[in-house]
Amino acid sequence: MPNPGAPSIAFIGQSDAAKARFVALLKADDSVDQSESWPPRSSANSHAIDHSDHSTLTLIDLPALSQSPEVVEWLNAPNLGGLAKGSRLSQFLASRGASLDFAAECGAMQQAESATAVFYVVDGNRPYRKHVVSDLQLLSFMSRPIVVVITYDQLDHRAETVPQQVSLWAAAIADFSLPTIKVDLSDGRMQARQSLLTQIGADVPVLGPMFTSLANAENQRNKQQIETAAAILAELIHTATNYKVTEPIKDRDATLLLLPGSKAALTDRLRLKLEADLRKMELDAWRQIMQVFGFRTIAGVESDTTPPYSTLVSDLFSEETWTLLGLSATQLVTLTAAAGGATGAAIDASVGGASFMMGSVIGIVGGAIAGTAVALSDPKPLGIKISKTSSEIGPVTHPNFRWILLDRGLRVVEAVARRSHASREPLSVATGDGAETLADRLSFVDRLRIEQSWLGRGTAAVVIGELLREALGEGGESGNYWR
Amino acid sequence: MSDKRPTIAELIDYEMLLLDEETPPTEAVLTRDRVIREHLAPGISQRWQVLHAWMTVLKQADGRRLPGRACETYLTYAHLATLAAALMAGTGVARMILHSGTESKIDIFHWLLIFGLLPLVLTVVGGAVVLLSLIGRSRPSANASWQGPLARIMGDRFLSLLQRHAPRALAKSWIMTLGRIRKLYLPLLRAQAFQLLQVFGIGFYGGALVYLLIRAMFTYMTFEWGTTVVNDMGFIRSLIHISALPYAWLVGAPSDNLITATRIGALAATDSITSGSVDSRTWWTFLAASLVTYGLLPRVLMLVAGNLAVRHYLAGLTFDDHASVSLARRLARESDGTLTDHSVSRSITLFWKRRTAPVPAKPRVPCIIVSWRDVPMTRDEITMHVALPYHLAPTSVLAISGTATDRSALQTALSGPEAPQLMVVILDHWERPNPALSKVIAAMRSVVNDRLTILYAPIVEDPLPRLNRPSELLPWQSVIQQQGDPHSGLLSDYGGRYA
Repeated sequence: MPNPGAPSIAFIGQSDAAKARFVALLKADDSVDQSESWPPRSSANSHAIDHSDHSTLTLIDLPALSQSPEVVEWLNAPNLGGLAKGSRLSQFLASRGASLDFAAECGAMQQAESATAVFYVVDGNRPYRKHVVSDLQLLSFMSRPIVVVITYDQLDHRAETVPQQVSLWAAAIADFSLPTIKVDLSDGRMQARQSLLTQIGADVPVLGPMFTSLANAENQRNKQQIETAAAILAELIHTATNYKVTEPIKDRDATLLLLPGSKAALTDRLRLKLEADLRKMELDAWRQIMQVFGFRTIAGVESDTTPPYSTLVSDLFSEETWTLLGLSATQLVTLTAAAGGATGAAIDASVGGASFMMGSVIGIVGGAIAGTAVALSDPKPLGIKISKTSSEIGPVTHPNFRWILLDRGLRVVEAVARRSHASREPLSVATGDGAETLADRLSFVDRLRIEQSWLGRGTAAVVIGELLREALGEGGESGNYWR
Repeated sequence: MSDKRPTIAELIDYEMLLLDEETPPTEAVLTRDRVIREHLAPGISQRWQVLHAWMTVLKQADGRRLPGRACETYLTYAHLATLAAALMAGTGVARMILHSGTESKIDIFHWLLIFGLLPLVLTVVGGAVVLLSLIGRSRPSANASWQGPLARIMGDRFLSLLQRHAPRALAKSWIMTLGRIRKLYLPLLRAQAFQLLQVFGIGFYGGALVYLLIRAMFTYMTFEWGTTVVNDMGFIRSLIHISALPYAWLVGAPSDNLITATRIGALAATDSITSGSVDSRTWWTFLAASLVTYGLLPRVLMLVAGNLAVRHYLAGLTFDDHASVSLARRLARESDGTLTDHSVSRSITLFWKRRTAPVPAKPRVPCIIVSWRDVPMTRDEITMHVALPYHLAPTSVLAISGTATDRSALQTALSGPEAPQLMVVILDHWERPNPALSKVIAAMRSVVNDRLTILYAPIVEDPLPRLNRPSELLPWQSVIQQQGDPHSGLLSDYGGRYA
């Protein structure tokens, strides 16, 4: 129950009218229970949005009104003709509130009457039905400000009929002269959410200051989300590219290692462990990113079993991943040559050109040779090192590994940041044929900046953050995702 | 096996087979049923006969072992075990009483209390319970409030607990079958419990009687009685004479002298069991006769009555639940199928031999159609999509929004002497049974009876309204399953256009 005096919104509507989905969208949290359940719920679900100024907005998802025609019939009975609407409602709640007959309706109306505003939610994906009139007639007996929210989902399989249906709903509801908001539940863009908050603030004066403030805070929150996601990615790349697996060797094992084939078996075992650890590391980072963006229940990533994220993208060490993601061998050679040239140029500049640009030339040639050698090498991790006391494998030093991690990470962040919290579809991350490559997405200069940023985690986080902000649109602007 | 009246074993087998039926029926199931229908004997008219034929074919075709026979055997074992336990209990109690008097004398009142008064009270209470349940049956709305202890034990809570905590070995199908049996055949379960109680009673009183006879034959028993409360000998004598009325013609009632002389104190004064004309041993015939009259005989009679009631109940089963009716309707349509399954074919040949005449087309079923809320279906569309394909003859089509006025109108429409036993509810596919709809259904059942069949017909606009196809009805199937009401289901399963 909300604190007395604290702002709260009661959401009311027919069964499965997308009330919970709308609440999830407003709260930017997919852990709000949005499941279709039967038998219908008989109690309210409350959700709190904590504001930065320590105030709380409570969203109350009320049970469905299934008996509104009968309640309206009761309220319009001739024997109550002389009473005001509010008195009739009070009389109904007093006389029928204790009975089980109208338990859900009475409970919902009592809670709605104590809320700051009431949002009546209809599912615009459904064809218009006249019985909405009974619900609105019932709400007209209440003293709270009423807002009608027509939700729709453009990703629904009947999406082509949605605009027409939404228009029908809007036209029918217009007779009641109530403020009406249309909400696309499939639109998870930051900008869309900010617009929604701003619109609610404008349409519902009693909630105006709260929602204007929430909309402003949203911008700051989005920036923080992007920065945090960038930091998580940078940390992942740094940790993964330096990760080794070490196992102690006991005396008895050392003797066994002398047997033919035993070293190869140990290498395989350690390599598998290294790969499993790296997969888990990547998955953990993705989970953190999803949580940062308010997603806790995305199917396919809540399990620790391997490879759970294969439902999102292919396996980290699969051939498909290493073929399609990251950079090509040519791009890698060009990049290392350019990086070498830039380093040589810096040396040239430091000696005031006395080197006759030899630093740049050597840097370019050296970088190209080194890049070619490594780019064409086996992407497998470094071979096993066995000492008297331990065996060690890793890290994965192939230059494309960090690009692959970055590529996959950016795709996940992009998908999560654009995802609606009201979405019921599985998370989809495009990685296969036809999807944009990293080179398509990033300019050569950006790639060079990133290549140079690997030297420090903080630097990498800053560069990745800039890329993400630019891609997702700082403050929520969308559309121009990647250059 | 009888195709006139099911046995309990057949009933269990039938329920198990029904549970395995896929809902909605797949094409393979429909083909199979068409094949069975082709071979139904021309004389078959009763629903159970059709269902029995279907069951027999399936049992022979699959060759699977169904639990009915085993359940019946276990029931017999349960009766035998109860009888043995009751015999021991009866013997033990009799032994205790026959050794509990003062100075080796047997207290008559102890015996009469346990083997005369107690069974008499139990018989009276049992009779009242049966009477009340009969009254309850005549008033459907009262059924819910009067459910015996067995119904409560096997109630929804027990079943849901079972579903939640039962080991995997206890298959889901068993739990569901149990739930259906409880809802459809509750009187049968009650009768089984009743019979088990009577078997216990027979064993108990039989054991006591045998022990008394053995004691009388091989030992020398003396009897006495005493009471602190009543001092009026006339009253005691009248009581004993009245209680002995039913069997006095056979063994005689205790004489006044005997009653007076065997009072505690009186006997001690004479100090002889055969003093004067009094012989206290003659009490034993009175005690044995009271046990037989008030304990044993009523139980035997009630057991026989219970058996007859079960037979009568089984003979009167109408199989009017949704699943049975749907299956019977599938089996009763005109033939248009072909024989495809070899095992089924062979079984049919074995079972039906030369009986191959097709059954006549099934008649149209009178029903009332409820258009729930503002479903956009015209009367013509209802006729085209609902009435004709499903062989229904709507007596009225009412648009209902759930108001009290609507319910009254619906009750009026159903209140005639020829009230349909079927109600079809047409509603949008996203609607689910909710309190408003439940009220309508409860109101209808209070007018017709609590077995009024409710068929839901969810529709979709595509762009014109049409009934949902079976493949679109998975959420609804789940709701129907959760509801657990054997008298409600989906129209699409009713044996219509998809059958």
